[in-house]
Amino acid sequence: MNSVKTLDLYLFDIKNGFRENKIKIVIACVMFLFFANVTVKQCMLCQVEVGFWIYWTNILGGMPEYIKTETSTFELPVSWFLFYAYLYFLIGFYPITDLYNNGSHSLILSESRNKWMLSKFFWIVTMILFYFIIFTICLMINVFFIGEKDIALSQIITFYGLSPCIHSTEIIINYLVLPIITTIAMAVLQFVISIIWNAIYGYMLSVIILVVSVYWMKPFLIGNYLIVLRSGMFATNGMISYMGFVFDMGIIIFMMILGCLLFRKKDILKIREKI
Amino acid sequence: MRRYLCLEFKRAFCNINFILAIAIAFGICIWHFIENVWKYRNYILDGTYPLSAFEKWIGADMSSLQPLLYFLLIPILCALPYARSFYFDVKSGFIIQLITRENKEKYIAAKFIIAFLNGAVIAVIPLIGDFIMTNTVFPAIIPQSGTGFFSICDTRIWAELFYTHPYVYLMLYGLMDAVFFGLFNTIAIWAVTFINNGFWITLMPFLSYAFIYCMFTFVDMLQYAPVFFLQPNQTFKTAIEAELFELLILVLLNVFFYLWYAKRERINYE
Repeated sequence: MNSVKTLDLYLFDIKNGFRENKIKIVIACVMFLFFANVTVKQCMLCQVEVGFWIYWTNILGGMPEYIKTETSTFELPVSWFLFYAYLYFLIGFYPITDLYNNGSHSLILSESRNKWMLSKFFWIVTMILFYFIIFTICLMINVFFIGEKDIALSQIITFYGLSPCIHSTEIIINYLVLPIITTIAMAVLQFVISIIWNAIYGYMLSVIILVVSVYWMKPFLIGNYLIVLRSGMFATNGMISYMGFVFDMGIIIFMMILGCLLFRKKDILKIREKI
Repeated sequence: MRRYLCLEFKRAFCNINFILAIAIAFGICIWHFIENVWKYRNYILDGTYPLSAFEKWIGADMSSLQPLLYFLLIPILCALPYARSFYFDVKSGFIIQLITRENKEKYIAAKFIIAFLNGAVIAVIPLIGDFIMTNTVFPAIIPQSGTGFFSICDTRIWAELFYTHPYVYLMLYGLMDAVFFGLFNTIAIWAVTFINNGFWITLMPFLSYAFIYCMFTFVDMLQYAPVFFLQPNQTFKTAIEAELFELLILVLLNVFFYLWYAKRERINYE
């Protein structure tokens, strides 16, 4: 029997995963359009001249460090929270559902559990990139039709009064690269917990990491790397990008190795009974 | 009906996920107790006006992480033990075995009642536990509005009750939390009509709750977000009309889906 390559499995996951999640993706689009529309209109009401990246910061920027006092109220940056909580909902359940539905066939054909794990990892990465792309498109649509059509990165420096020495590469890293890699790291953590233990607990852990990260600004709480307004660019004692990369890569590699090792011993038929 | 209720009660309350859900909720309360209550235990010896259990327990705290985490996660915890059971019954065909032995309306009613009770118990028991724990450290001094220690001002609902009969206020709030979280938990029962995935069904109460929270907060209508109005500290000004309106919607949806399932010849998730 010819074994199926990881690429074949990945292509199957792309096709199957999108088909299973199509309604959730449509809901995500509606949500993004709503967020973008409200943000653009609010900025226009305030009569401030802003552009694409300021709208982006308003939605996904999160909030600066929370300082607890006797009278303070702890709140979440809701658009940021819903964006990520929905993303983890979107990607959290396909691998385990697939294992129940088609997984045993694809596992037999691939002749390797590692290949199955790898293909799911690549599917997660693809979905995360796709999610960010559809958010960008939805925001672009609103910017193009009703907002200020300025997409220059320099607007961030002018609007927030940042140091002019900040290079555009640093902005791209803090706005796109680091949040995407951190999202992948958290998604891999959730994926491994889902496969080994339970998908609901995996999702709950992701939500807990998001909420706790908003409360405590600590380098080991990786949710902080998803908050743009806490990056070193905005705050003097902000999060250090390279530390974020180290943490994220460490989590991705460690969890994938651990996942592969534990998944080898996993009784898949038992999972079937649980679903 | 009694047979169905007994059977479903056992399924909902005698399982490992029920214990885990209660343990996680209690874990959050204990975390709050250690971080925000226990370390102030000697405060009473300072000779200043003592702190009250009514201002330090998890339901009264609005500046810490744990209250928000508790009130955000509780719909997932409520759904863990039992929310998926109706989906399993339908999917596995177990429902046919059940409804042929008595009648379908009674079975559906039992499902809704037990899902409601399960959600209510998981949401409220840890809160009661936290209040009792806080009382072991701080005296239950009747709140005095003049001290400025308490978050509830005269514009909040039942404010007068809080300053005159705080236990009655807490009982009323506990009852309101139980009703809302119970009703949110029943969302998983009627989600079976639209969704064909056990995990999504379990998360439906949480997703609806989080979605309402995020959307209303995003458009500055915080009084409509259950995450806030179900916290006894009433962080933001709440409107009783908003609460009643949401309660009415949840009740009507449950009645509608009860009738829907009861009248349908076949209950099918596809």
